[in-house]
Amino acid sequence: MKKILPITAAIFCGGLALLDFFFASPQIDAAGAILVEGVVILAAFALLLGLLNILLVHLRRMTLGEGDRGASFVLVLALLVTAALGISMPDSASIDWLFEYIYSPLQSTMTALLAFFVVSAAYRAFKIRDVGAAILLISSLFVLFAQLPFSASLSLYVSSLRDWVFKVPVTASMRGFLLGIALGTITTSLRVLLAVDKPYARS
Amino acid sequence: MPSLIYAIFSTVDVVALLTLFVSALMFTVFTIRARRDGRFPLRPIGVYERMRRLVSHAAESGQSLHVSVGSGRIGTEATPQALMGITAADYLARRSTEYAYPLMSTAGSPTVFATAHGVLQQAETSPGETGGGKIRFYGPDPFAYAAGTYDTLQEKAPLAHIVLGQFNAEGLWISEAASGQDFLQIGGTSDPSSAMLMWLSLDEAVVGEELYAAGAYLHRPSHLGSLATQDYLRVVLILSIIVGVVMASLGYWG
Repeated sequence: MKKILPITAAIFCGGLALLDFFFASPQIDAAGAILVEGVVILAAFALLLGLLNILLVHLRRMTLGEGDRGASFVLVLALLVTAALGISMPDSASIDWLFEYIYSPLQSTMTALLAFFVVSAAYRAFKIRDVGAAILLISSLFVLFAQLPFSASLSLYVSSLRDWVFKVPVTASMRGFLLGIALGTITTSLRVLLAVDKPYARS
Repeated sequence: MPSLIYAIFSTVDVVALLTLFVSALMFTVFTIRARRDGRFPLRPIGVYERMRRLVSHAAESGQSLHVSVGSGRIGTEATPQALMGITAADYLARRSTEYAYPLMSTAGSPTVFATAHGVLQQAETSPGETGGGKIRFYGPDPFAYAAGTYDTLQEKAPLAHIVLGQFNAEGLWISEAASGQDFLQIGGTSDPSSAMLMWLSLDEAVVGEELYAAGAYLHRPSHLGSLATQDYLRVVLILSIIVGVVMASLGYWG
């Protein structure tokens, strides 16, 4: 029963979601909407489970002295203060202040670091180790150069070649890439829908 | 009755329905064949080969492995990618109970966290087994997840870091921030822009559709049927493109 019930529920819900996608019927639409609501509720409970995990992991780190105790203390404190403010004064200026002056700057810092990470990753990738890396380097340098405003004045062929690079090799490889992903998505979905893959059931 | 059927089917995307029907048919046939005849021949994919070797290495050395299952939310269009992260975590957790090496995992979305938690717990509570793995969640914000994963990697210093599942910019953040450390990083995602950036940063990477082959390559022979379906559908697509190009060139279409 522990096995059959989740499999039956998964096949039923998956089938219903598919019917909702293909057929426009008020009854099916209503059933689909109930399923979507169910997913939202489940996700909220999963978030609660996640919050509990954060608290347990970091309280344990603080008490047992594992890892950086100071960072764990700041994390737990920030979580509790934000939760307390959010629950007691949901629309208050304090919550806005927290997001505007703490959360947003932290997020911007993390995003800004990405620029350096892209450069350092590209630097390593562009080291000429084989023919592929050489092609990557030459084509990237060419495209970078061809994007410069004065490059068109040097030769008409530069901009035509740049357009060709975007229209032919880049578009062709990107379409191939996306078609491959679409096929992978279809077969993975079929595996779950037909209960070949059951991450939700005990095996 | 015919008018009702017509009313229903007139709104249906017939091509999509036909594609689904053909795919489901091929999938069923190939899965039955895979279960009956055993293995299909597979070309080697570096990341999965390396993952198997890492398991042996971890078993011998007793060092831990770390798997980041991504920030894909189950129930959205990212579900198939997220499930591949879960598949990798499942494989590593089962081997961890078998060979008794520590496994650590981090998840960046509540739903993928709950699923991975269940999968790891299941491996842990299999009859006669101990081990499994531990999982940490660092909030639904992708960069909080990246920072938390980096902190966990610093703390645990694993033998290798496997980054597989759905990642956006945080994928590059995690892999590049940890790139100076003394451990191997392998994995990948299928989102085109993130996959390219992670390919630059990881020691070995799967890109695009190779991600969806994780189960078939690692430990689930039942996935071989879907892999064969994927290959045959690709042949059908290639033939359709060629026929389309020839017809359009001859002026019969478009």
